[in-house]
Amino acid sequence: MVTGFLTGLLVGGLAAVAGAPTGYIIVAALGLGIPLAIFGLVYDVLLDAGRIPFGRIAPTALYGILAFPIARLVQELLLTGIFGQGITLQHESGVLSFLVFQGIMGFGYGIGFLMIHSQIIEVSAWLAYRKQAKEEGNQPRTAEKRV
Amino acid sequence: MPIRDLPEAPTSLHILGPGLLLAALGVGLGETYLWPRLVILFGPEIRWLFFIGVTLQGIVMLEMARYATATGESIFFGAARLWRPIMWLFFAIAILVYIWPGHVALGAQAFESLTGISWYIFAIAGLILIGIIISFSTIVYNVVEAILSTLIGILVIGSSIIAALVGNLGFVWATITGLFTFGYFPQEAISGPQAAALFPLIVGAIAFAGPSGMQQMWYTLWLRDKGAGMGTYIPRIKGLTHMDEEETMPSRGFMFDTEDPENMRRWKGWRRWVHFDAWVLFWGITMLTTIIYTVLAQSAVQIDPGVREAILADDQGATLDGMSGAFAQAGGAVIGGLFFVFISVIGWKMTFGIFDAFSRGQADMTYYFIRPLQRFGMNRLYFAFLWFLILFGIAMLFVTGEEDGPAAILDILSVLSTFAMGAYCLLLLGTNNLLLPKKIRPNIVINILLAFAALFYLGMLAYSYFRFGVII
Repeated sequence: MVTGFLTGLLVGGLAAVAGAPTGYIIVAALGLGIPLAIFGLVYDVLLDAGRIPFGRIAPTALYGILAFPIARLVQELLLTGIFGQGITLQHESGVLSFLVFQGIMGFGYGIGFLMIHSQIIEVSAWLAYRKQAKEEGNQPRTAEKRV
Repeated sequence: MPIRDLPEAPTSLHILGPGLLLAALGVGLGETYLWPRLVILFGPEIRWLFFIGVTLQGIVMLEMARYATATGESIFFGAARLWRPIMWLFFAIAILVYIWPGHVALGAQAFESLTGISWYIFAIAGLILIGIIISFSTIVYNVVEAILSTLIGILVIGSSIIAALVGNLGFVWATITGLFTFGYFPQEAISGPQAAALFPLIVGAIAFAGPSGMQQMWYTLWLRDKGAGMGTYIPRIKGLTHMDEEETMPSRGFMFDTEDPENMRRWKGWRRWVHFDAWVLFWGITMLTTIIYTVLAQSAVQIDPGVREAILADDQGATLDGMSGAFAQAGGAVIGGLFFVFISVIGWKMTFGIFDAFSRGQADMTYYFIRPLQRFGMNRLYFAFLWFLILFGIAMLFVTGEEDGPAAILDILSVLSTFAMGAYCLLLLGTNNLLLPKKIRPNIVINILLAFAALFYLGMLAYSYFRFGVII
């Protein structure tokens, strides 16, 4: 369940805006990282509850399209509220065009998130499967483990 | 070919598959540099050619998969079935094009820009790391799939975030509408004093739209190791430390009974799986990353007009430096630095993927068609090719002066790469129409598209040569 949280937090950390005052950097990183981490957590909860099918593109891309612009808006509003200046919001023609652009980038975020998330789950599931197979003394059938 | 039952296709369509590997391998120089460069030179309208190029690659991929899933054989084996010299031609092209360590050098140079430490050290460490990872894996394919999918995931996430922090909606809109301006061709690339320089540039970029050169052919080997279709019956490449578990490789592939309704039902399942692999994983992700990188290039030019000059001068190193500098201006040094990290990741992952795929392809051809070497087994041949590439790469890095630059090595790829792409379209027409049973052959529309693709790649090369006296 922590996978989504950590993925989101790490990714948010990428947004650290260096060259700016330390306070600005921290707010920029956490302002994006924490909302994305929360969305990551929600994603895992939905996955565990069977609401989102594992490894499927469309629901996760949709998750990215919705979650990423919200996280970016939170980040921009926090920065504007505290420091009087956001990163790109002030350059956009309006909040709507900002959200649409971030939504398109959020599609990319969602797909990338899915790739890494699936890989982590896949590897841990495969290790557990191998361990179980070893304990039972039988190897998984070729066709099963290969596709 | 011996007849066996076609295994059941997976019912769920999953993000991790050989198509994602091909996208991960294909997203490289073309998507991150050549196409953004064309957009800066000619405007986003030029991107319809990218659309055509990647779509044709999607069709090629489906046909590569048709042969591989129906027989469990690589396309190289198919070429040998038609006429053995065709296979040897690809064997030779692969050596000429892919033994150079150009990609890892490009990535290492980006790392040098970031850290100030000589790129030779990163390049050599990168090459040795590839050897160690592959040698110590249990099933090589699983490790390659895990590493490439993770790296492409990091790349997609990271570049989306950078683009989200520096780009705007206008750039995305221009990039997407440019995909559909069919027929646009810049006048200065056809006639005028600049045409001889510009036309070959467009040809080169089209060849680098999606997987270039022989990457599509190697996809058939990955399908086999993934266990897709009849590939289930073929043993997989294992790591050096698991060599004792090597299974006996059959002397040829297998075919299923196309008169049996149950097998034909499963075949349809596999075609569905392959279509998802080709259109969603490969086409979709390639399009997505290239849109993001074009937005990045446009943003960089807007932030720092000096980037445009570097792009126009075709100075790849200066372009990457300029783009990083522009992002640093807009989003801070971390963002600028991250851009270099991503270029390094691209360079290394391409080398990693190419080294694995090259060794697979060459080992496959050597094992089946150089009989005296068959006794070593597929696994040993694979590792012989892999470590040869690594050691040759290290040797090359020592003899190549920095003046020649890694980018100069990459240029060698272009001509043969484009030729191979045209040639494999013709090969697919032969293998899939002559070697496969009638019921599973491609339809007339696919055949026309394959012929068009062959004409597209070979025709552009020929036109460039006869019209301007240069190929690429």
